[in-house]
Amino acid sequence: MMTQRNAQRSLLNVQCSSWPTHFRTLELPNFRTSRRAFTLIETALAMLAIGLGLLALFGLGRLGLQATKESENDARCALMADAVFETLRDYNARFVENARTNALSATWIQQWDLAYGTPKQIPFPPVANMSSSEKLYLMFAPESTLAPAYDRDALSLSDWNPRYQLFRQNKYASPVAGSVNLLQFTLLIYPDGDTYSSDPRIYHTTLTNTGGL
Amino acid sequence: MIFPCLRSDALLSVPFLPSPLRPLSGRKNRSGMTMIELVAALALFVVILGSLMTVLNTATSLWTSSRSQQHEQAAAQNISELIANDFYQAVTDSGLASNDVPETTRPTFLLSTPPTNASPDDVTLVLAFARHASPQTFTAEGVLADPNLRVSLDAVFYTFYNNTLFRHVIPLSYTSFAEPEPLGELLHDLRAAVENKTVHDEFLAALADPSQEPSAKWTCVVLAQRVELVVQAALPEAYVRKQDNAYDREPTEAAAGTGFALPPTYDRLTSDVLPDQLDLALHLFNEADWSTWQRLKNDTSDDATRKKQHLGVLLSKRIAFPTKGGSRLP
Repeated sequence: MMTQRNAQRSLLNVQCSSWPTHFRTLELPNFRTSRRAFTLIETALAMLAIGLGLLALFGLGRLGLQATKESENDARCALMADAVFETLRDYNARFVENARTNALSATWIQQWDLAYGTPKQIPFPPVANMSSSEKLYLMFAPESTLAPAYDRDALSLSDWNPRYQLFRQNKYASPVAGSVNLLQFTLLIYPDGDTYSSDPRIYHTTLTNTGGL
Repeated sequence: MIFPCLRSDALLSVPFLPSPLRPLSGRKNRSGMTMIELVAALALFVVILGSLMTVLNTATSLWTSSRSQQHEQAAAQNISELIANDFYQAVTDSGLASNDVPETTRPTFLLSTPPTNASPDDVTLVLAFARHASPQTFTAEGVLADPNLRVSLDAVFYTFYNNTLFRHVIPLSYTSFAEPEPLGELLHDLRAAVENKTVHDEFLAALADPSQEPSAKWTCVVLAQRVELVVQAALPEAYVRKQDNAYDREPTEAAAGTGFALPPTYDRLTSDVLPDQLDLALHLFNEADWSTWQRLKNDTSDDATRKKQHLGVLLSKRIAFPTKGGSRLP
């Protein structure tokens, strides 16, 4: 009996020893524990690198969008400034003509003083992509006041609705003519209206009383 | 010995020297990636690559669109500057109120905004006036004007045909200085030729194929294709020729302060004087935007209105005439 058991045992031993070595890979727990995983520091560093890369990518996209928006603002502000100054030139021509032909008793500078000091005199010119209204006037204001370039009662949010400051520099009398014959106007346009998230664009123009010098 | 390693048996004394033909022992124990890991990595790779391609594609289309918009913007700016430059040099030969002019005389200034429902085959004379001459403008026969009969003026016509804006410049000449014709007559004599549909077709064909030569030899420039425009002029009512067909509606009057009243504004008028000011709006499109615009043009839904606002480039310009002596400093 003992002999038979020993024989069986020895047979089992032989069979075990003759198994191919790759069968040992079935011992999964031992195999897994022997493999080295990433450490926490490695994972954190990898995530940091990927995160930084993604941040840079998104930052670049945002920068591109911002640059496009600013470029669009430049173009729009230039259009608005051109229309505003052309309107001032038109009125300046009219004031020159009135003063020259005595159509009005006021002099050139007196007419400008009236336009500057009295609200709602000169209609705001039509500008592409801006809300238009017949009740909108050019607002001359001191440097601290911002005027809306839109009518609150006829406001379209899909249009461009900036704010602006339009003021004239100090007027200087010509020592030759003895009167003021030149006015310098400054226009600041805040393209983002009430949010002020974009820098103002600044424009200047000079109007003269032609022939009055 | 000073250099023991140079002895012949020195190498033999090294206990272990790895052979390049024998895999390192470390490699033997390292396992490969499983199929699941490979598939997962590939899937992740494809997702990341797909996202990157989408971002790249969006960026490229945005860049293309932005470039096209810049092109249209520059074109619109150039056109408005050209029209303004023509207007700054514009002249007329009459300072009388047009209502007092006999009906037989011809106007020296014409303005007409192309109607929105105009057929593409209609030729609209958008602007017609005379300006100080350029010395190198060619006559309708393609030669320089005879200096003996040459008036120092050019006739300038802006025409609109097949959604395209044209500019024609033709020098004005008298047949004889003994009986000089009024400026309006000189302009009128050229109108029939300029408003000819075939002439415009030939200019467009020459634009597409430079080997084709248009029969009309005067200076003509195709300013823009795929364009819509609105032109409005402000002029005191007393100067507007009401007997002409162009005067077909009541003008709009802008509110202004006392003493600052603007003259009424017209989008169609004929007169013998130049207007006080002119408002110009140009809407230029690239090919893709134009097809979308044509599809949505008459659609008044909110969605269509929102989409239409992003199509093409819209540019406006106010042109004030310096004829009354106002300064034009920058």
